[in-house]
Amino acid sequence: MRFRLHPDRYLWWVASLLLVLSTESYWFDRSAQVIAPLHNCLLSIGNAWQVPLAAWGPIEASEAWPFWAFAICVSIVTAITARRMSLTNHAVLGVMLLIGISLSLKPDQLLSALCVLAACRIAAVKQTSLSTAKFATTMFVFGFSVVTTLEFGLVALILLGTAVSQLQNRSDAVGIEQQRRFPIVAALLAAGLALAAVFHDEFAAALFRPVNWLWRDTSRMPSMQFLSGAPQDMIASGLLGVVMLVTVCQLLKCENTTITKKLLALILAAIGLGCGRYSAVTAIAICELNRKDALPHSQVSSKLWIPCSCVLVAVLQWTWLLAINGTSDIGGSSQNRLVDTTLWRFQGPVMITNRDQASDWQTAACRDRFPLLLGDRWDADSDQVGEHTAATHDLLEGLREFYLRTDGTAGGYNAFLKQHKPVAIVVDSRSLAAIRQLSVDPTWRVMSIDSRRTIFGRSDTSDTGPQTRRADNLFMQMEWPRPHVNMQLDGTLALGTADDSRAVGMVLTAMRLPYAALRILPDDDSRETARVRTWCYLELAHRSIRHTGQPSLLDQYRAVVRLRQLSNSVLTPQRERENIRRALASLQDTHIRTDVPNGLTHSVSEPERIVRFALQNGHSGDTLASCEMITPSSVGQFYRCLLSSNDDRLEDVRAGLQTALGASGFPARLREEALFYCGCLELELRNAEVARRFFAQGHEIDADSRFSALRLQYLSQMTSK
Amino acid sequence: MKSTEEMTDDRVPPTSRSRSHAVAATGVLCLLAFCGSRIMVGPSRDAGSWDVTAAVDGWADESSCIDCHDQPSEFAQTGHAKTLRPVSHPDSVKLLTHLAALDAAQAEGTKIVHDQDDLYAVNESDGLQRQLKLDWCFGSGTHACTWVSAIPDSHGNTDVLEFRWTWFASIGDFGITPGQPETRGNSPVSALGLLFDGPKARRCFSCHATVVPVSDGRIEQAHIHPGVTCQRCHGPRAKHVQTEGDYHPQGWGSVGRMEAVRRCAVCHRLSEEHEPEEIVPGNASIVRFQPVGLLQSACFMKSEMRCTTCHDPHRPMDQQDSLRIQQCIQCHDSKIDGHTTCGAGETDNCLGCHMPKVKMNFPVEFTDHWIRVPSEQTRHEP
Repeated sequence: MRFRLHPDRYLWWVASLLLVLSTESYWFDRSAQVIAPLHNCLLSIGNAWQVPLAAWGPIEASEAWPFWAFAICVSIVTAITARRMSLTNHAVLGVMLLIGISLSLKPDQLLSALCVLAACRIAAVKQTSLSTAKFATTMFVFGFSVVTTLEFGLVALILLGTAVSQLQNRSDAVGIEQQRRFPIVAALLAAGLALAAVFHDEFAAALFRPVNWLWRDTSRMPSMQFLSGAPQDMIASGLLGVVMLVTVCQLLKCENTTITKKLLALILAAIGLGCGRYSAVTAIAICELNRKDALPHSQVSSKLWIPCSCVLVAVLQWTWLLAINGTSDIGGSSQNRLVDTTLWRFQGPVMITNRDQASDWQTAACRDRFPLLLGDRWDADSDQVGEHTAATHDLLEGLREFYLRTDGTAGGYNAFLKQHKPVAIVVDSRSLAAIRQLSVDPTWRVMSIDSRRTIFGRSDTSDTGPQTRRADNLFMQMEWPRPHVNMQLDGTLALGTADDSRAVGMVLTAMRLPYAALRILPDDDSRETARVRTWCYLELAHRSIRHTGQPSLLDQYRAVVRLRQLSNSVLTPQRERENIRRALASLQDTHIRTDVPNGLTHSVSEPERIVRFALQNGHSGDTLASCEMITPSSVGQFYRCLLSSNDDRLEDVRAGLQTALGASGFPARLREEALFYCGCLELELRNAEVARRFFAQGHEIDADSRFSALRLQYLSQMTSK
Repeated sequence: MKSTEEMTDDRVPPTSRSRSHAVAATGVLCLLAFCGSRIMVGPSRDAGSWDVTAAVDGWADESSCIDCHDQPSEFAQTGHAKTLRPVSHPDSVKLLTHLAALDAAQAEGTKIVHDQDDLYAVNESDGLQRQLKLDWCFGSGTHACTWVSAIPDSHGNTDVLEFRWTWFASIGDFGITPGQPETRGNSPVSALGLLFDGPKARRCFSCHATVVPVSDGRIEQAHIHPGVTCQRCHGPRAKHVQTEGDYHPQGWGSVGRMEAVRRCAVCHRLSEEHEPEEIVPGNASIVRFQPVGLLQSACFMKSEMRCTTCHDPHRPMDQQDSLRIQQCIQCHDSKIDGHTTCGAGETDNCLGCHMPKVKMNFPVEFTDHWIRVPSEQTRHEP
């Protein structure tokens, strides 16, 4: 049969390519690590199985491919499998398979996917005899998988299972010669594997990687969970799960499918559904196991709507991403996405709390300088993995000192860190609660932040102390700018895309540096930027309550209104709604209060009292009407500006406040408060010098006002050397 | 076109079709169950089971302990039992009312105000009134009492503001809380106390309470079981009570000596939590951490002693045998040949020289548990 390139193949490929590229903004520039790196973790078994190709010098330098090259290869694999699925089984399943694999297959799984696809295709070749060519091809595929990937166990499982299945299925057709040959071949293979296990202790552990995650500690690898991660990842996993279940069901129902093949499909589905890392690869395998004969060309042409719908889905995905995230730097440079840790002048062990991020530290440039305590190779874990997991838990919970665990062991991360002496602790930048806890540790300070990881180092050693101080100075400068101080971001901060900036902004907010976070946010109206801005205003509002005992009406109003809007949005996950509820409660907490004692209270009219109450509690309603009733009119304008602070441009709010301040009838009792708000707005607008003047003016007017403590702190930070 | 592996439906007997459907359904259900279990349970461990004090379940009502055990009858009078109380506790209120009489507090404008059921520390100075709602009283009063306010941070996590003034038993009066500056600050926080962040706040409560439920960084104040009571040391005992004692998990009697000391040291501190250069005789700052000194003592190293050798944690300190020399003469009896005895000729006042009380730089004295022969170099400076 001649191979014909039907037009629909291109459409399938284009759809998959678009979806794969949508997972990475900087697809043109970014590299993708395709070959599993060499493993040299300090708490792992010393002689862990290494991918042989990774250790070969010429390959080591090219273990990473350009992301676009990876995308092209992945989309070919995906298109092949999804197309056949949709044409021979069900169209919807094919579409789901395409979307699922395109969005979830990671670079280090590409070669595994290729080997699995090849193994299944070999098994599907209809021959009446177990020919030498087929055997040689099978051995080549298995050998290739051993040399290039860690998932050769999966390939072996598929090859073995399909071979036994074919033997069972052709028991009448296969001659005595072939029946006799198979056990010999199987015995030789088993002997080969056993020999390999004898020569290399950990070969067996690597061989059984697809199943030994069941009894190994993988709690610090979120990717091992099915239906975990970002919403996009969960959707992809869910789609693959449905495809696997339906396909397995079809296989199980089929009378003529051998029991071995059914068992193989069940095992693969269990692996794919139980371990998120294997979802894509096992989905490919299961769909290929259920492979049916191709449709005639005439029927293929009538189903062009299927790939067209896939392309439409891909276009919708791009549209959605642009709408949510604003205009990203599509196809731009990826150099600034991650902090370049090779710029640091120290070296030593590194502890990562999210073991999925191990690959960041296993590049040729980092591997020897920053060996990990524990990476993502669960098959190479020693018996110290439990200790590492427990210490990670304590780190993320802020449990520094010794405490007793329910199992009688000693808790507290300080002892673990003292024993293993890492130079850096890497926390996932999404773990904001953990970053917040660890940022107040007396010894460990933030050394660098990017969208993926926040790295802590000891401030009291000569190795990492300079970098922690450099980072401290940078963050302080971003929060309270001092004159004539340059900001060096290299090695400390990486902002990358708009999405990256927002992620870094959330980290800075968690560290209680809201002005620094506002400074780096992209200047757009996207929902995600607005969300980060909301949490910044919360931090500012709470700072005022904590340090002055009273709310800053400017920040409190914006925080409460925005938090309520965020909470009411259907796109806000339930978890974040709970955080918002707690945040709003914290703003209403009255443990700390500052008042002007009886007898000194300035007379405040009822309309003004209503407006102040509304600002404090985020009610706008008919408050504007109350503003009209306040006299003098400059005071009404003052409050109107505050009420519009959530909707108007900051420059307009500032201008309105300054106009009210400059009016002749503006009362002295509000002048200091208005100057404080003007100073805060100028800080937000990145006019540090102007902000300083407003704060200084406020200090001159009333050095002991309710905002004095916070204002003095700002002034001292902005004028320190 | 179907694969040659498949048969057409009309050649498949109905019973065979139903069997294959059943097999398919069973297989899929098993897969779903497995997948569901992985998602629901997952490889992660329940964070609540890590810290004994944060365990969610298994706690018994301790009023039932006395039904079977004698120890609880006196335990309520111990320092452990009273080491954390709500600020509204009568003893706490009684002490706080004395603050008004303190000249130093008056001078800086600090007083205590009752507002219905709440107590506030109020500072009036510089034309402002700063107010702090107090929540808890730390300390049994044997040495001191310090009050705190549990305040939420912007994420609802619990920070603690330690009140500036502490009541000291030795002087019967208030003084500046140890570790706080002599001069008050200007903000509500610094005028009234010192802020402890979340991790430190949790640490404070975990040593002064038996149950400290924590939910995403927030200490669930309403569910704190204050005081170091029965189950803090003996563990959650709900099942023990339910089975009327038939279920009796491993207790203190079965743990080794070092483990027993370690359990006390969870709160009374281990030497590993200090720098090596700090653990020297004569360093007053480690005296308050009894296990640190005890583990350096020859008495400890050469015997089988543990904390409970001298201290019965079920009884108040003033009724302890540890105030006398009963344990010392087990190995240092002048009437028994071969025992090492006091070179100064003392026979009934071992503690005065070998475990002296050391005055801190605040009005509290702690007994030095580094049992040793005193010398000029190792004698504590006042």
